[in-house]
Amino acid sequence: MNPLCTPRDHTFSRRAFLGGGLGLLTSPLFAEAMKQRDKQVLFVWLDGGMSQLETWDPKPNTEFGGPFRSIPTSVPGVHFCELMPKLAKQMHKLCVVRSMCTKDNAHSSGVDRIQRGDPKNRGVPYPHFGAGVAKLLGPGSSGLPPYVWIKPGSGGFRAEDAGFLGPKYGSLAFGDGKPPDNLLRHPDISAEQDAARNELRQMLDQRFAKQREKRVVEANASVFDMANKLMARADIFDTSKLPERDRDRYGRHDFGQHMLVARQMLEAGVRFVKVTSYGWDTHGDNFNAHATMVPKFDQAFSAMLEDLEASGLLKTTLVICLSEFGRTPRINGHVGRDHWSEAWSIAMAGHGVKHGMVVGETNERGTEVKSKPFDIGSAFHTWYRALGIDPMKTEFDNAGQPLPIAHDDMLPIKEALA
Amino acid sequence: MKHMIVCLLALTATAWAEEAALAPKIDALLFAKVAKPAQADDAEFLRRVWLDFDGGIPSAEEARAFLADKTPDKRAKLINKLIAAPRFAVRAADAFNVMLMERRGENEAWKAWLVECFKTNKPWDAMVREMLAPEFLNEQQRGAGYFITRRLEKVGQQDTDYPGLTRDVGRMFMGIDLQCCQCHRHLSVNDYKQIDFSGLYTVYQNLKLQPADDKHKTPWISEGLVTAKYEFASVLTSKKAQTAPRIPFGEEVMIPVSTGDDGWLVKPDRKTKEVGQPKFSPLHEIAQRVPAPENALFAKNIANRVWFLFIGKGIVEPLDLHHTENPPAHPALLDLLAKELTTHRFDLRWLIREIAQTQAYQQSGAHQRHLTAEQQLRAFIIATGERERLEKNTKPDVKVDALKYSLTEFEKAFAAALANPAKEPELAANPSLRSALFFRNSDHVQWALKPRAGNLIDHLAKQTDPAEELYLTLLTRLPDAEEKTALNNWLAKDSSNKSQALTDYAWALLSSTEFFVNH
Amino acid sequence: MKLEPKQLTEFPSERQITAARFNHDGSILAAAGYEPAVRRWQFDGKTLTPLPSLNGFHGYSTALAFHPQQPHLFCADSWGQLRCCEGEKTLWQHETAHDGWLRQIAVSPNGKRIATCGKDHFIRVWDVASGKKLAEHDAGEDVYALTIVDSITFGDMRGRIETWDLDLKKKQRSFDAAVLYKLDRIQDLGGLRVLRFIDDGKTLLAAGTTPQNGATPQSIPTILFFDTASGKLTKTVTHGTNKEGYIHDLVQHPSGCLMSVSSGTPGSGMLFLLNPADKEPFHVNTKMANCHSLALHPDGKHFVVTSTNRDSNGNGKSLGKDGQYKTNTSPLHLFEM
Repeated sequence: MNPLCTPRDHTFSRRAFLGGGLGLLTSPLFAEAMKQRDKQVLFVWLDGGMSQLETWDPKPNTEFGGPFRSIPTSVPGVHFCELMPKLAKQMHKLCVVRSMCTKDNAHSSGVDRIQRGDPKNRGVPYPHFGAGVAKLLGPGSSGLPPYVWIKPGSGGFRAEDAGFLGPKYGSLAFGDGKPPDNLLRHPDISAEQDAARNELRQMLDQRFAKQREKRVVEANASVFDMANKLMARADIFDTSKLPERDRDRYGRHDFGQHMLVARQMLEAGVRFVKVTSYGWDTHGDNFNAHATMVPKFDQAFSAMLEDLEASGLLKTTLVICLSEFGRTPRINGHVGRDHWSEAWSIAMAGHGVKHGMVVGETNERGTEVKSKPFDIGSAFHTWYRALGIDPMKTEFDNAGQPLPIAHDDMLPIKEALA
Repeated sequence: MKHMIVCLLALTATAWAEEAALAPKIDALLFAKVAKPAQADDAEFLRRVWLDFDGGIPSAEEARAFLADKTPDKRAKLINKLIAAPRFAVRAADAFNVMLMERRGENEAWKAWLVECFKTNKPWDAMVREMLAPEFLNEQQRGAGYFITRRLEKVGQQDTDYPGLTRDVGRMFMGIDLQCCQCHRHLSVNDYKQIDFSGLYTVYQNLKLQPADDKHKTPWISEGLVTAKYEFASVLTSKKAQTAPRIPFGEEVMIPVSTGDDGWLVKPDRKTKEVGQPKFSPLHEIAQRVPAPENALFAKNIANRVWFLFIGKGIVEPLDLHHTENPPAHPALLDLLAKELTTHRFDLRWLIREIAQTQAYQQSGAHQRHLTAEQQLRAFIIATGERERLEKNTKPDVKVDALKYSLTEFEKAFAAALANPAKEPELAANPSLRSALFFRNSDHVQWALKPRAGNLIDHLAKQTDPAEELYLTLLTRLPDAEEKTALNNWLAKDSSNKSQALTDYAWALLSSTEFFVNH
Repeated sequence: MKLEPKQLTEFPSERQITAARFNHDGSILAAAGYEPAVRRWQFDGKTLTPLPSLNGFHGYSTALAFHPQQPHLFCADSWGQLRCCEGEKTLWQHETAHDGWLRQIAVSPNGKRIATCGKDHFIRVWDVASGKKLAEHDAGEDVYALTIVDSITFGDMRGRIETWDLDLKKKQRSFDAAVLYKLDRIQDLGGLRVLRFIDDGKTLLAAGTTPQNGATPQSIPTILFFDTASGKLTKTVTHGTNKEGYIHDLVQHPSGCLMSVSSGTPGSGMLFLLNPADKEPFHVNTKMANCHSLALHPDGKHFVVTSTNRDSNGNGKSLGKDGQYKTNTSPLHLFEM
C-alpha cells in the first residue's frame, strides 16, 4: 500500500453514490448501490461458549473427543458431531472456520470483545458489528430499526451497543421475541386521531427545540419515530398466524420461536437481526447439556437456512453464527469443559462468503490450530468485505476522529470470501 | 414610616445574610471569571422548584397567582414554602430511594423511614449510620435495614451477592466504585486497590440474612465472629495480603484477640435457633467510620450527589468515580460544599435550600433534566386533574373501573414505562421506545384524558378560551399569542367534538418534550 | 450398624473413570472411563496391580457390570458397543447394540440376562450365554438409568421411571421423579443417575440431583425413596449445597446402609454413608474431589472410590509441569471398614 495515501483519501463517498441525482440512475454504480441497500445480516449468538468439539469440529475417538461420534455432511470429507444431523445436510451452504484463535477467555470482557471486533485500543468504545452495519449500510427501506436483537428475558433499547457511533445505532431488543408493551394502537383511538395528535406533538416539539437544546428533543423524536415504525409493522412479531408446520420445523422451544421471529424481521427488511441463545457455558455436565441443546440449535438454524434459501434471501443475507469462545478439550471433574479461545470455530453462510467450505483446521486432539490462526479482527474484516465494504477504504468518523472499522493489523479470511 | 421601612429592610438584609451564607459563595466561585448566566423567568423557575421540591407541578391557580405576584422576594418565599411542606419529604425520599436502591424493589418500611428522615431533617451521617448498622428491633429504624437486606437476598440460585453489597457501600456513601478491585488492583483507576475492596468485603461477607420472625418484623442480618484478618490475593500477581475491617483509604480496625467462644456476646445455639451476636462488630465499626468527618470522601460524595440532583450534572462524574485522575470539574466548589456541609453537621435540607438560592440553580436554560418516573406520574395526574380521584381510590375498586385505575396501578404502570432497569444508576433517564409507546397507546394515559367529572378535559370543555388554563395546568406557563391561535385553530377544525379535540391537544402537550423535561 | 470407612491408600489412573466395579470374588477391579478401553486391576486385599486393558472400544467406555457368580464382564461404550468378556477374551460383542451412547448395563440377579439403555431411547435385553437380543422397548426419551430385579426398571431424562415386563411387553408400574428434571432455557436438565432396589425390592431408590439451573449446573444431590408397591414417593433425602452436584453412584452395603458418592463443581466431591431410615448421612467424607463411582468389594469390608484429580478445571490452556496439555486423571481411593 502506498504510504503516502491515507485511507481517507480513498474514502469512497457513499453519499455521493446514493444521493447523486437522476444522472446516476443509468450508471452501473447505481445498480451497485441498489444491491447494497438490500443486504442484510443474521447474527446468531450462542452465549456462554458453545463447544466446537460437540459441533463444528468433532474429534471422535480421541483423548479429548468426548463420547459422541461424528457424521458425514453434504460436503465429502467434512464431518460434524452427531448432534447436528440437519446442519450436516446443509454443510454445502455453510462456510465453517475451524481455526479461530482469539485472546479473551472471560465472558465479561470476551463477549464485548468478540461483538465489537476487538480493535486496537483507541480509547473509545467500539460499536457492535450490528451497530457498524447499521451505520455503514443504513436502515434500509423497511423503515424499521436497523439493529434488532431477539433474545430471551427483557427487551429494551441499548444505546451502549453502538459505542462511539452514538445512540441512534444501538440495538433494539425484543425480550422473548415479543413485541414491546403497548405496541398496538389503543382501541379508543382511531387511526386518523392517532396520526393527527402525533403530528401535533411533533409540531409542538419543533417549536420547543427552537428555544432549547436540540439534543433532548431529538432523542424524544427518535423514540416516537421508532414507535411509529414498529406500530406500522406490528405484524412481524406475530408468529401465531404462521403455519403450524413452520413452528414445528423451527422447534417449539425458545430458540426455535425466536429464530422464527427473526425470519419475519429479515423478510420485513430489517438490516441486522441478532438472535441470542443463552446457557452454553457448560462447565459441568457438558455432554448431556450439549446433547439436549445442540439438536435444538441444529433444528432452528437449519430451518432458517432452508427458508432463507427458498425465499432468495440467502443470496443477499450474510449469516454468522458464533460464541465468545469455544470449550476446552480437557474435561474437568464436573464432566464439563471450560473456556477455550485457543482453537474454536465459527460458521457463516450467505452473501459474500463461500459455501461448502471449511477454512483452517485444528490438530488431532483439538488442542491447537494447525493452520493459520485467525483472531476476531479478521472475522470483522471478512464480514465487512462480504457485505461489500472495504475496511481499507472505509472508516468511522468519531466527531472528526477517523477510526478503522476493523482491527488495523489484521486481514480478512480470504479463503472464506466468495 | 421611612425609618421603619429602613429598619425592616435592614432586618431582612441581616436575615438574608445569615440564611444565604453559602449560596453567594457558590455563585462567586462559579462565576468568578465568567459572566453570570441569565436567570430563569418566573414560569421556568416556578415549574422547576415545584418539580424539584414538591415532586409535582402547581395547579393553574397556584401558577397564575405566582406569576401575577409582584413581591420582590417571592422566589425565596416559594422555595422556603415548598421545602417546609410535607411533600418535600416525600419528594426527597423518592429521589434518595431511586439513588440508593436503584429500583431493586419497593418496601413500605424503607420508604416510611426515608420519608421520616426527611420530614425530621435527620442529618445524612445519622441516616448512613442507620443504614450501615441497622437496628432491626427498633420500629422507627428497622426500615433502614432494607439497604443491606435487599442486597443480600438470594437471586435464583446465585450466591449471596456480598461483592455487590460491598461495591454499593463504596459507591453510595463514598463515591467510589470498587467493583474491579475484588480480585486484583483496579486496572484503570490507580487510586483503588484490592485492599480497599477487601477491607469492606470482610465486613459484609460476615453477615447472614435472617428471615423475619416474631421478634424481628422484617428480614434482618446477623453477624459472625471475626477473629483474624481477611486474606486475599491478586489473581494477577498471586501476592498474598491481609486486612482487618477497614474503610477504603482508611486505617484498619483492631481485631480484638479472643479464643474459643469468648468472642460471642450471645453464643449461637442450634437448639434454640439462636444465631448469636459477636462482641466485636465490624459492621458497627465501619458504620461509624464511613460517615465520620475525617472521611473526606463521605462529605464530597453527598455534596456531589445533592448538587447533581438539583443542577443536573455532578461536579465529579460519574458520581461514583471520585479519584485523582478524574478530578472535579470545579475542585474549589466541591471542597466548599463538602466543608460547609460537614460544618453544618450534614444537614441536607440546609444544603438543598442553599443550592436553590444560587444563581447557578436559578439560571435560565439550565441542564435539561429528564423527569423521573415519579415526577412524571405526579405531574401527569395533577395535570390531568385525576390526582384527587386516584389518591382517594388508592385501593383498586373493581366496581368503579374494570381495569383497576388506582394510584398503585398508575405508579406501577409509570414505573414500568419510564424507570430505568434495576441495578442501574438512574442518572439520565433517556426517552425510550417503551415510554413512547406508553404515552401513545397505554390504557392509563388514555383513561386519564377522557372527560370525567372534575378532571382537566371536563374543566376545559366548559371554557370558551381554554388556552391559558391548558398551558398553565400542563406546562406551568402562559401561552404566547401564536400558541393561543394554534389551539383555537385546532379546536375550530372539529367544533362538534370539543372534548375530543381538547383531549388530543392535551395529549400532544403531555407527550411533548417540554413536559418530560425539567428545564 | 455404623460403619466407619478409613482410607488405606490411593492408586493413580491416567484417565478419568466413570464407573468401576469389583468382580464376584473381588479379585478384579474393572473401570470404564474417558478412553476407548476398559482398565483392570488385580486386587489382593491390599494393592491394586494393573492388568492389561481391554481395547477395541470407541469413543469413551461408559458402563460395566460383572456377572454375580461367574467371571463374565459386560462393558459398553459411547458409540453403542456392548461386549461380554471373560478375562481378556471376548465371548460376544455387538458393535451397535445401541445407536450411540450406551449409558448403563444391568445384570439380572440370576445372571441369565442383561439389560442396556441409551441415548437412542431404547432399552434392550440380551441373553448372557449367547448374546442374542431377547427384547427391546422404545422409551421415547433418552434413558439415563436402569436396574433389574425380575422386571426391568428404567428412568429417563425427564424423571419418568417405569417398570416393565419386557417379555409380555407390559408396563407394570410407574414412579414420578420429575423433580429430578428441569427445563432451563433450551437445556433439558436430567438429574437422574442411579436406580436401585433395596429392602428386597420393596423400596426403589432414584438418585441423582435436583437441578436448579443449567449451563454450569447448580443442583443438589438427591435420593428419592419410592414405595415399590404403591409407586408413591415416601422420602426425599438431599445432602449438600447446590454446588455439590450429582450423586453418581450408590450401592447398598450388606449391612443395609447406603453408600454413595457425588461430584459437583470441580473440587467438590463426597463420599457419604446413610442408613435408609435416616435423613442425614452418618458419615461424610469430603476429602476427595469429584467422585464418580464406588466399587464395593464382595467382602463388604473394602471399597474403592474413583475421584478426579484436584485442579481439574481451568479456562484456557493450562499446561502441566512438563509443558504439556494433558488429560485429567482419576485417583482410586481404597477404603477399609
